[in-house]
Amino acid sequence: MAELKITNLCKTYEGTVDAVKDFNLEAKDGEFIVIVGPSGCGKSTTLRMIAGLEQPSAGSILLDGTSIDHLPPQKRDMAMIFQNYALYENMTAFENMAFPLKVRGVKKAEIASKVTAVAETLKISELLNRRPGALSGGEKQRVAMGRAIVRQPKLFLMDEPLSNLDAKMRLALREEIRQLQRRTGVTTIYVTHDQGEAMALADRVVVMDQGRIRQIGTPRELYSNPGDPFVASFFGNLPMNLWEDGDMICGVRPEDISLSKSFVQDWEKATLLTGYFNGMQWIGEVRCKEGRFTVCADWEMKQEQTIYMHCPEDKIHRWQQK
Amino acid sequence: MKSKAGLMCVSFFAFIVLYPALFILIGSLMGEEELASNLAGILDKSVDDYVSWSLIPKECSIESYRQIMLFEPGFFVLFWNTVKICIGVIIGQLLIAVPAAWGFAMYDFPLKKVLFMLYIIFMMLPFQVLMLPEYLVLSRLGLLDTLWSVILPGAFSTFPVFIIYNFFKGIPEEEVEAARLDGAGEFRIFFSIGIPAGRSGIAAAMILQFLEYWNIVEQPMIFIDSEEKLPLSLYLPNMNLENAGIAFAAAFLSLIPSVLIFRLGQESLESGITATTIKR
Repeated sequence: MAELKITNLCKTYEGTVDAVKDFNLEAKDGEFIVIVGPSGCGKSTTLRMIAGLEQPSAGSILLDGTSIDHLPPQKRDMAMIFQNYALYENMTAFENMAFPLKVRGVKKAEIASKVTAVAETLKISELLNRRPGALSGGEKQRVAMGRAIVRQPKLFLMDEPLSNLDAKMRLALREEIRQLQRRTGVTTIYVTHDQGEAMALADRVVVMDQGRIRQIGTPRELYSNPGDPFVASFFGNLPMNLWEDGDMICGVRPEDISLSKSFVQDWEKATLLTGYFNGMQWIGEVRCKEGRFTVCADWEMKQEQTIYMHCPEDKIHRWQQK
Repeated sequence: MKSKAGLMCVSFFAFIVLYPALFILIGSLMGEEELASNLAGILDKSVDDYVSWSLIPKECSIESYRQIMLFEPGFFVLFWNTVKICIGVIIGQLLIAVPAAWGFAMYDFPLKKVLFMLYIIFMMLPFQVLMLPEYLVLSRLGLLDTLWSVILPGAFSTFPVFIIYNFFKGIPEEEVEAARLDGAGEFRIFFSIGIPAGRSGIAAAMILQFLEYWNIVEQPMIFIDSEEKLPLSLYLPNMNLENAGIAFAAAFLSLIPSVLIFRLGQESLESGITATTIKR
């Protein structure tokens, strides 16, 4: 159970630009924070600085009000889950999960009962005698999750834990991670480049780009009130349509555009370029006077079809151009 | 048909490779007279004949072995010297080379690259180059003419560091980081993760070094004067041809430990050598 407070965290590598610049974040006890951004935005570096694996160039990190800046990773009482699982190759699944307890000098009987209980909840009881080499990706990540929760750490750190898994396994494990976190109530910092993952998991999302925080907010806030075009175009299953209007940048989400196959007074005429069915609805690419837009509707879209589109004024986002 | 021809071809080359060992074994089992007559061409200047040899002794005798076991205490002293050298070097390397390799593989420290470069250079320098400085150092330390003069430089050998380093390098960084976050101290990580992961590399290096020091010739020849402190490898060439039977038996006996060690560690040796040549 822990509150995390990060102030002005910076990381500068010698001779290069700032990897992380002025990172500020307060995570409440039990909160699920997802840091999201394109690759190279500094999200992993931030996570590694929280873990103590990387030395910050400036700034401070407080855990429950006390500074942990000088503490080595061993003393921070955090558990981390990695993209490539990072299981101990020479140990069985059981020994992997027992390791953090063994290091702390927990008695054998207690270790055994704790590991078995955790394995039960993760449905990996049958795998306990196997070594990582004999496990699938999903099974490996389950063992890694078990290793993280077998002791109740103050903080879970997850670095793209689902990125090496196939789509189906990703969805299944995503759900399990969420349940696990709700059940244990451990404050979690989760790093991903996948906005869908961020939306599905986070209490609050931190959007990063080029080492800086662009916006912090709940998934709902980021989706409906993006602070800048970058955040706007980063969220949503379909990309937001952006265009320039004088010194403003305007944006509208495809799902906010109304479409009609027949003429409607005052609606804008556009030509469909392509269309495809994604399983829920039809997605189309149109040419209109603002440029190329992505649109969606529940009727079939054909090439070279003429359509009429309309967007209510209050659905258009506007940002001052920099 | 084709495989039969291939098999014959392989057998032929295998025989060529094996022949010296076979030669020694046969010689050690021959009686004194048979050996004398076979070797007459070189033993007796008055006889102008080639050395002849047979694949099967006319009459097998273990007389030569009996001779060594019962009447050649010198053999045991020198055999024991060789064992001491090998064990000393191996223990020293386990204590020095393994942690050194771990340090190079895991940690960043000032001058690391320079130091590692030096290690590689030392690995490539032949003994002839190092002989004089080593001699001077050993002389100052007062270690000349002791087994330590062979053991100590061997214990600090750079070659095993290089082999084991490559194994430690193969450990994913995240595995070590996970262990740190799990609360394991650096020593714990070394013993719980490093040693098991580098096991076959360590074994391979130690086997190679054992074979190397079992057959070591130059170092003891230069650093050790007293006959009773010499290793077996220097005893064999000093044998008189008159004692040819004993020489053969001694040679064969000295082969046994290295063959056994090789056989025991063949698998790790193979994986060790492939791992250092093929980047994983």
